[in-house]
Amino acid sequence: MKSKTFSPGGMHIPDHKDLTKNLPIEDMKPGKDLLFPLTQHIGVPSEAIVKKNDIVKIGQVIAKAKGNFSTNIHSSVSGVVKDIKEYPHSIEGLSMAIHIENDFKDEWCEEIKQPNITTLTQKELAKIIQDSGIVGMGGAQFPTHIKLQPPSNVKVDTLVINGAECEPYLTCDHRIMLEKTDEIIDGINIVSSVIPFDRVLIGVENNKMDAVEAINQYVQKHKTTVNIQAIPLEKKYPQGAEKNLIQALTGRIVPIGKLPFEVGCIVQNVATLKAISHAVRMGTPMIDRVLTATGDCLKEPKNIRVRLGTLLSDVVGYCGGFVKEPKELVFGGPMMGINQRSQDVPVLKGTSGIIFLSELEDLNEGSCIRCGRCIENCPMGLMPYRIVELTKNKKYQETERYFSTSCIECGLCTYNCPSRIPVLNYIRTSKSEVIRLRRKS
Amino acid sequence: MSRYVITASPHIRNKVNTVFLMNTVSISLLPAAMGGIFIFGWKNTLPVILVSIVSAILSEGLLQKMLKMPLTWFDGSAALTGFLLALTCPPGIPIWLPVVGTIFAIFSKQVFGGLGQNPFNPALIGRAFMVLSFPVYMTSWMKPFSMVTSSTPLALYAENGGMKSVLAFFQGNVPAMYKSMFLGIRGGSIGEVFIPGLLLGLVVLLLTKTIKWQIPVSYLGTVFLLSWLFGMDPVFSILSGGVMFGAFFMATDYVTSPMLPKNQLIYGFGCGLLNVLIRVFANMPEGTTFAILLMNVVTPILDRKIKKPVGYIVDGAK
Repeated sequence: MKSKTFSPGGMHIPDHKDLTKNLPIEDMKPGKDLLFPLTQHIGVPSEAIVKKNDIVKIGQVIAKAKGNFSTNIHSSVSGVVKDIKEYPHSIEGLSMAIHIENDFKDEWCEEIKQPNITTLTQKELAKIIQDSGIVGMGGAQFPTHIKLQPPSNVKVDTLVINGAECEPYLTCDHRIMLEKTDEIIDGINIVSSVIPFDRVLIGVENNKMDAVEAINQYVQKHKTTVNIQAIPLEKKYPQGAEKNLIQALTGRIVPIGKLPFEVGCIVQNVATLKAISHAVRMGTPMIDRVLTATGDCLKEPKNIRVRLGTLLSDVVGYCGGFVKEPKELVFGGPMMGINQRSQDVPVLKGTSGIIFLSELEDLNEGSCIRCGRCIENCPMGLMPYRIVELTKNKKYQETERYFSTSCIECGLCTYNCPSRIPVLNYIRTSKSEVIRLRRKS
Repeated sequence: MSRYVITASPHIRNKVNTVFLMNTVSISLLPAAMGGIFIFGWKNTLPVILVSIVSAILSEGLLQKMLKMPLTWFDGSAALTGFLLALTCPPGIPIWLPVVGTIFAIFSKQVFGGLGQNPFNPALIGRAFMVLSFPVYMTSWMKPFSMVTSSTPLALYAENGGMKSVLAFFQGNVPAMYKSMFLGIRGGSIGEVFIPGLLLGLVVLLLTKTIKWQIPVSYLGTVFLLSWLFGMDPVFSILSGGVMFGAFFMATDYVTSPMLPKNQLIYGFGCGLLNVLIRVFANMPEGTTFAILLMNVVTPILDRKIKKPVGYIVDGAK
């Protein structure tokens, strides 16, 4: 099968996936202290419903969704609530979080029962997903129940599953597709039982052909009600970016400023579907996730299932500590992930990887030599260098003529700039200024 | 707890940086340069090249110091300018001439704000300055493998009445003419004569993705077709003078050529058109230098085009 891809732009980045791609997922025992930030999704922070010194069990709701654009948060261990105050957060810097001390009894909350489901309505499924605290596990942490409720005036015919894993280093989705194929397909069956899709397309970069085969063989063996197909994609970053993935798989182009609904698509990450399967079949809320702990500093890079709230320092300990002193610490992939100040941060629902890098990049900004690499590689077809020029001159509004707000922040412009200009930083500045000016008027 | 570096994403970079790119171009010039050194003798060529490179680097450092700009004289760009300029000089010119040329070339770049800001290709500006100020030195050519001065095939063409006099020089033997033109057994600048070396350099530039194919192809294609229309031998046209050298190494300069591939095709076409027009109608045998410099002026206009992004909808279709 010929691999599909998007155009224009994109490029293959040395992926370093060999470090972990053949390592089966290991279960990591939770540590003594766990932190549950109230913001683990895009939208309104959840509301804590436990108090200091409360006893909690695994799967117990400790923070409730506040409104529709929010989700529940559950304890991933049994133990005692030590405190609720501001703690380090991997995205926000600091955020309100519930600190739970593990009693190592691993007692499950009695409320968790296998739900007795025969048929589900769209509303019921959305309710289960929101109550189970499921958000997009690729990194964006967008509440999943919102994505599964298309407006009534649009016809959605394609479920696009993101198994591209185009970020270098990360291999957790790869391992999930290989080891938990059945759970992913089950998640697909559940979702397509409430939304009548014509087809389900699973996009996987062709450096993971074993995953493509595993899925397609599984689908052939087990009859599914909906047409499911895993499709190889060229290994080209950012193949897993929502709009680019839709274009690669369906040929449809999401118009500027619109959602995938516009072209009849819903996009979900493979790990999210696995979580949906768990929630619906077993009633298990989101209490753990698979992530890749890797980088040149870690003694034993691994793919591990980690309880949410686990502190980074515990993950480091589980992976045998460091062989080299890390200089840079990334949550997520190296292209779009976020640097961490310390090892005191907890694993969140969207933490797909933890990367420890010993090498720092040269950040001395030179002058633009107009080589055109930023234009050539931009997956949105933008002209990043112009946005940089205008932003340097504080002509923010003019950057709109160059569609600065269409930028998906994949980072290829900065990655490729031979003069080490932080192109994306300038675009971010222009974007936030444009949005600020829009709000003003 | 130890503290770690905090930067915005992305956290990794492509290894290709400005120094790497500049040095790649310099390396891809080596085959052509070595051809020239072999053909005209090292005594007539090597000093010109070395003096030119050193003087370009020194003038860059000095000017940056004087203008209180950040010192970037070792980023490879000044060295490249010096190398390029030397290769466009006739062999055996007085050694002070490339010094003057490179000082002017670097000056033309720094007054506009340094690398990336210069409207004109520095090496070509330097050469234009030398041709206009010291025309006698810049048009005294050497016969290959000897110390005797001679004429270039293009000068024969321009001064003595067309192809006939060129062919007479080769005793009417067309394949022999092509062969010696291709191998660089002719009068000309140090770097422009050895065509296999230039082609090898082009291959290096394309394979390393240092340049795109658009400018060289549309430039040479236009020269080929237009000279044919004007009744010149098209193969002779692209082999003679500095067309190939210009199309591969001068017109493809990042700073002074357009950024969008479509505009690069237009730019290459413009270079080719002006080059042929100068050869046919103007008072000088060769037109590469001024054709490219004139198209440098057009680059900012071409670069004003705004590319439509993915998912762009025409107003009203919403």
